[in-house]
Amino acid sequence: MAYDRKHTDKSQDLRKITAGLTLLGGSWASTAWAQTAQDTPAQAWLAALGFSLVSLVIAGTLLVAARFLRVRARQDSPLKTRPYECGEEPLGETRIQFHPRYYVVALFFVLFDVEAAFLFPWAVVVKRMGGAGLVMVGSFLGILLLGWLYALRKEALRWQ
Amino acid sequence: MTSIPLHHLLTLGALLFCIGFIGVLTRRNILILLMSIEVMLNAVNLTLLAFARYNGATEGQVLAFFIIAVAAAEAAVGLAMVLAMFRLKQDVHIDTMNLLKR
Amino acid sequence: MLHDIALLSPMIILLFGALFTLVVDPFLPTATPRRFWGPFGALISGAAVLATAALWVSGNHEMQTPAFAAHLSASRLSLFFTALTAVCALLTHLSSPAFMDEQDHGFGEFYALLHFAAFGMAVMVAAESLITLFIGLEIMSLSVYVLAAFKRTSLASVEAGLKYFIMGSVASAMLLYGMAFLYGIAGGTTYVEIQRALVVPKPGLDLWLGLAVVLTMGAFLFKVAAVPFHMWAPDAYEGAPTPVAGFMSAGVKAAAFGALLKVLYAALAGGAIDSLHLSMPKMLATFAVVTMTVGNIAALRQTNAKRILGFSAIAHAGYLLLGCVAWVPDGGLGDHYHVAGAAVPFYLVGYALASLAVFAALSVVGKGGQELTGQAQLAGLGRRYPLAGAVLTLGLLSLAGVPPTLGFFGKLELLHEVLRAGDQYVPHAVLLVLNSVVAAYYYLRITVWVYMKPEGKVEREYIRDRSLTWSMSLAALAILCVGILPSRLMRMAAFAGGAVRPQVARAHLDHQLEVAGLKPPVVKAAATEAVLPR
Repeated sequence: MAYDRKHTDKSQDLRKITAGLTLLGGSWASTAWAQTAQDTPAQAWLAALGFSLVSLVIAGTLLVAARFLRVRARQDSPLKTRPYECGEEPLGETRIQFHPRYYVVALFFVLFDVEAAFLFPWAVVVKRMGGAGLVMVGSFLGILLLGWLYALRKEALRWQ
Repeated sequence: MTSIPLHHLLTLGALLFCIGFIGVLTRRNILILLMSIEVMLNAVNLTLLAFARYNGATEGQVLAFFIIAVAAAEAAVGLAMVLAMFRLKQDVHIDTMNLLKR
Repeated sequence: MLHDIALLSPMIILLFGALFTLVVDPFLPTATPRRFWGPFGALISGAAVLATAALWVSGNHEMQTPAFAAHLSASRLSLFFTALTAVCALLTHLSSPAFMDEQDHGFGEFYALLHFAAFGMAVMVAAESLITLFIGLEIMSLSVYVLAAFKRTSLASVEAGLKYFIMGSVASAMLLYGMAFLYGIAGGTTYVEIQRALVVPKPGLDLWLGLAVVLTMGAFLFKVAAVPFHMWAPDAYEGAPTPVAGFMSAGVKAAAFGALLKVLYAALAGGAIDSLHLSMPKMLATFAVVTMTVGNIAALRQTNAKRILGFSAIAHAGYLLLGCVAWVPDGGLGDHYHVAGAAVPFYLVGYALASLAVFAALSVVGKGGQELTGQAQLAGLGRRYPLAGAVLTLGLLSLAGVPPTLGFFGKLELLHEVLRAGDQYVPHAVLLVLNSVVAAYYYLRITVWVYMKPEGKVEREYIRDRSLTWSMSLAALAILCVGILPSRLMRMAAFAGGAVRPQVARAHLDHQLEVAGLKPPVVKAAATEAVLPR
């Protein structure tokens, strides 16, 4: 069933824009206010308090705004049985199966990503470490490269 | 800003560690067990970093780095085993792992 | 730098073996049988053993580069345990190819993982800081989890691996949490720094120190499969492929005890530990006695040989733990400091060889992909495959502690040291003897299955393989030969136990003791001391 305007009460674009602006403005204001805080504990706590207040205000505003502005389906509309009542159109089934390759690729990403983190401490002191550091990082990367070679050869990286 | 007292970080670490531990003890889905273990490891990371900051020594950060790497490897191994298990019996609950006598 | 790298050569050899196997294997044609990796792995492990032996013969070494010295050592203790774990890897490399091929899982990765596990063990026992200890422990553990679950078409194997993995990960997390507190208290991660910080009692930090010690020790109790963290062991041993189970019971235990000795004697020794509310030696001794009793009593009711050996591994963990509390005063540092005697390293050699022999002999029934080691499967083994039957029996006798096997002298030395440690351990020693008697029952029961049970009509086939024969014979020969002439090994074990603190560390400690002398709080306090809640 395609999304159809006749099932909903009102046009929604203006509301979306309003909500977005409120959110943006609110977070900007709260951040700005938090930044004005000085270094003593009392002021830090005050800033935190202010921050929570602003958050509460934003959340409250949004809730109240939603009460009046939200796009709602009529009771008798078939939209009532859909996952998103707001008119957002679902694509495909609720439960989708990921291709197992996603899992393998994700694992490789996580592993190599984390290993790359070891380069950052070296990058900080690269000048002081000099040649020795280069050799160490080189051997580290070499071992990683062997792992990558293994994965490549095992065709773990091929999308089939 | 004033720095956060050590107690606070340690307390947060302890709470996280306990949450993870309780998760391991009470949940039965192996995937959630893996997540709980991850929470425990991150609690340790937090504790280590807190101590590293207060001791002014970097070894804690080094250890935390290694924990992150090992946690990734652990997740890879764990998920691979869960996958092997799922292929064999379409189930990832720990209370059904009773093939081997208790 | 080069000097230090030479000291690390055993580890580098093992790592080379792992990487070489891992990378070359995928480039071989798929049809090539992979069993040659077994003898190749044995060669690599043998090279590591030789390198260790060369280092041992050439004297007591200290790392020269500070960065290495702080985190790894090539002390006699490290070398002893490196050699032991490499021997375990060697025998496993020899015993597994035929078995894994029969199970249809003889992939190259298996051998690469064995190398990785051996490398992790070597790092773990050579560790001089919490960081290297953790890295070695994890390299070993992750490899062994996968090895246990390696037969991925068998639910038992995968289940064994998963159980081991989950329990092991929780134990690692506990260990790390304990380490974090040790680091916070000591302000450093090396054993030397920790001990320096613990030279004098710290009344304000007792709670934190106690927590750190309990968490750390708990994780070690898990790794050696001691009560109350023992329940994974029988499952993991039963489900894992038989040669892997042998490797787990021999290698992992040896590495864990090697690291435990160092942590106990090089890091967690000193006034602060002694003044803790609950005395650590007493606690460990209690756990040891409970562990051996629980393991032995549970083993009595079992009907599967692999599971029996799983419980027997728990019992042996108990004996060894009791050996760990036999503190011998360190002559150089005074009564307050102790070295680990010869008993634990010596006993471990006997235990490792015996369990490798037993598991290698048990793996012969794995013909055609089955992996059952119950009474029915073992019946008639002694008649139809005399070598396997004999090696199995010899290994079981050694585990039971019957003279003239190595196991007997191990128990003797252990008892001797426990009794020498003080009168408070007499009840523990008596319980140890009683436990050994109980244990003899179930070891002999397996022998009875092998030799005296009716064989039934089925004509069983066994795995007969040259490298498996080599593995069994080598292990059996070692048990017999060293059992007949144990004094040399005993002396080496004593050297190892005495070298629990490398010279550099001792120098630091001496200085620190001098400074501490009559004014205890002079020890440089970590910043945490001021901040931690008291």
